[in-house]
Amino acid sequence: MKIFKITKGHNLKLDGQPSDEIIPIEEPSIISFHPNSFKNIKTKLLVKEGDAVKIGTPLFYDKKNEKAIFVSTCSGKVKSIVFGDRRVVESIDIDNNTSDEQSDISRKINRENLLKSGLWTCIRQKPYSKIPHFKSSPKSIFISSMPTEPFAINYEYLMASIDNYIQSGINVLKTIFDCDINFISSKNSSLSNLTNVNHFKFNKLHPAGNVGIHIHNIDPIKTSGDTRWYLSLQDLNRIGQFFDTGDYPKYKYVNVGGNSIDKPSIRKVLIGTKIKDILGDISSDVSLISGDVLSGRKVSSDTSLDYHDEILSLIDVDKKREFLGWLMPGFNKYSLTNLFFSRLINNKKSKLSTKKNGSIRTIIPMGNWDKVMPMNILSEYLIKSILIKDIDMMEKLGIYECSPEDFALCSFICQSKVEVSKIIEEGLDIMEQEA
Amino acid sequence: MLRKLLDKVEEKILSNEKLKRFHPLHDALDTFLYSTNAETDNAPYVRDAVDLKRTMILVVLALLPAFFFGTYNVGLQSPDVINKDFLNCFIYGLKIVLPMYLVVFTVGGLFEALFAVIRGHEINEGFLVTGFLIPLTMPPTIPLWMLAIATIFGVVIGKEIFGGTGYNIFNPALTARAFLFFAYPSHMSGNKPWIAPLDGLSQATPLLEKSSNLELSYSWWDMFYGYIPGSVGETSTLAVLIGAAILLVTGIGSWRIMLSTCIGLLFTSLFLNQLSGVSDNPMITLTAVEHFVMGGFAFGMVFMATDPVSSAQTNKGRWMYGLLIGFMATIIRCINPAYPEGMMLAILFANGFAPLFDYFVLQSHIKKRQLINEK
Repeated sequence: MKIFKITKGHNLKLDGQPSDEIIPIEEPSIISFHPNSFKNIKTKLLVKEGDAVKIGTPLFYDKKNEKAIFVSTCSGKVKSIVFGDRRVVESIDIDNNTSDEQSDISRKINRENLLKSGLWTCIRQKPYSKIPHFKSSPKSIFISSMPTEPFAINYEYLMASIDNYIQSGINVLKTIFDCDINFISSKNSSLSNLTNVNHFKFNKLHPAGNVGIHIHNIDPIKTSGDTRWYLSLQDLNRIGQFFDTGDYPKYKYVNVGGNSIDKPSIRKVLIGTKIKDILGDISSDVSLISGDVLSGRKVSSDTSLDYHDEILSLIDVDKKREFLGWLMPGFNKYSLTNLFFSRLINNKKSKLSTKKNGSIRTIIPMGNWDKVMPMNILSEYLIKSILIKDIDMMEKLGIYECSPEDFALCSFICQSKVEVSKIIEEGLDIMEQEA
Repeated sequence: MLRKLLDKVEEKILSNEKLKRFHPLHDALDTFLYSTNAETDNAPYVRDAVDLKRTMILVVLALLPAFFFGTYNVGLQSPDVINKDFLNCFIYGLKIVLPMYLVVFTVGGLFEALFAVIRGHEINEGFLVTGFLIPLTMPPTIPLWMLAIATIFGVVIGKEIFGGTGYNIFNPALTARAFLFFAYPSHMSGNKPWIAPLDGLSQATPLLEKSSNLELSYSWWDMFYGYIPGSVGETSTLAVLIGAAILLVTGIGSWRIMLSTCIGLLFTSLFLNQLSGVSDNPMITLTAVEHFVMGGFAFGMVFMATDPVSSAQTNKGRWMYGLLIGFMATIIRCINPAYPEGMMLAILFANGFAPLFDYFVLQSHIKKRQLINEK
């Protein structure tokens, strides 16, 4: 076992931290899937309005990855399919008859059945953070039991509270892909006794829980085709559950955090449940983020969470403008820099909102990005090479090792409000097109 | 009420095609008075409270001790002020320094705004610092029209032709000073310009005394506290060090650059001290501690060398950059017979070298990455 210590980063202190408690959400009468929430997807529909579906019935796939299907998590009837501009599929709504009929999928452990179960789509690959091609195989697989992003699930608690199929999940992946499986946990983790994996320990300083940081430290990516796969611990648990019991794992545990809800905690939800069904009534002065506030996506309450997300964050919208704000001592400003007095009291009185807190300026290398970037990457030069689309330089500076979420704190701390993580994403898009 | 007025004006500007291009001017005033309420539209959805305005205003705060002492010292050094109590000297100093600021900010601000309007971007806060620095680097007797030309030169040639704040190669405030230094040398060096008013009375700065092989008429502590003639803001090392403390605590100024500049000075002067036996050049006998309090060394090191844009941008590059400044400043002071002061030229010289240092650091970083990848 190897232990890594990450010293650069920051754990955001947000109000409405979810508590360790699981609240089951009643199955809704309608669930929805949103193929267009995947980047660059070319959706091929496998159902049409009025079709009867069961749990596990294939709904759609990406034309570039035709065997990696997405399946229904309830039984019922396809209520409606909404198309947007240029006929992109915006949502597939299914009437849930709650009869829990399940389609027949063999649970013999092989690649074919993993694809057919729809659980293949829980896996993603680095670089590019996309679902791997159905024919491809990884060099190694990374599983983290210690996510560190704001409002991250406490897996120690979750796995102790639900049926634990992690070891079965690991065995399934090992049998199918026969590659190294790297399991990352924090110090004193109760999950350190798993077998068939290589154990690694990290300290809990965000972004130390991000898979990008693990890959960078354990088995760095060298070229565009040099892929590492990763999946969340509860998705691994779901894979284990399916191949162990044959029951389709249709629930997901979502950590709901934020100021404006009572009882922020873990919710057990049917996959595809709309956010309004999870939250009930919500005030209009909040932003709903599918995922964490640093790397998630703003969504409306009428949609379900993004496919891979297991956090729902609510952030207050604040439109007040402060008179001569730049001149004030700033005891209530949240900052990682020493430019406000709030630093003396450890940002205790500060509240974060969706405010940008400044205007966009040119990149001025004050060294702030470096304070929260634990990878051996010259971030300012990488960002500049992306902005001028210098592909050769991007490769030399290690673009394949980078993911937007690993640079989220750089965007957070930037005094010129440069969209660092968005630029990284654009850089990866350029590289993917080139490849 | 003010808020409503600003919103109304903005609405008018945005609704009129011709007026639209002047929106940067409104925006500058608007965001100066009220913090922006712009919302994040992509991840991360929360942001740090820091922005460039706050950063720049803290640099100005760090400059205030030098400004206040410098203003007082202008009066203190002047033969016009008979009663040398603090208030008298300070008021006399204000009468000289405030018009300088008025000219710099009016002329510089005008050109900043002009470029912002032409380019259609928001007005950058960078000029706040540049504008605050320029008068502090000038002798108190500088004619205001020269100051105006220098400011225009600094803003336009030093910064805007490269693309504005963030793109410039040389420090704009030093570019402004260098322009006057070479265009009107009699107003910028020698023993005349340091005492206001400029009436033929001469008073040498400590550096000039030393280089002319005269007995130093100031003690080390005089030079440290700043009771000496010189450019407005540079004389008091103590005031500059208070500013340095603010920059270091807030993390705005690079400690690497400040430290390596001192190391460069220390080693170069130690080396030159060894040569005092073979040369009768009086300057090489100066110790590092004396160099530090004389002329603009401390001021340049703290406020000019640490400019994040024109200095090196990698940490290793910053070390090399600082060492070069310390080395060059000492060499120019001691070995160049024409200029007793070398800090400005050393910093501009190192500004030119900074991209090269960064290039080396970048190449070595890439090589190391390749080695890891080949493993």
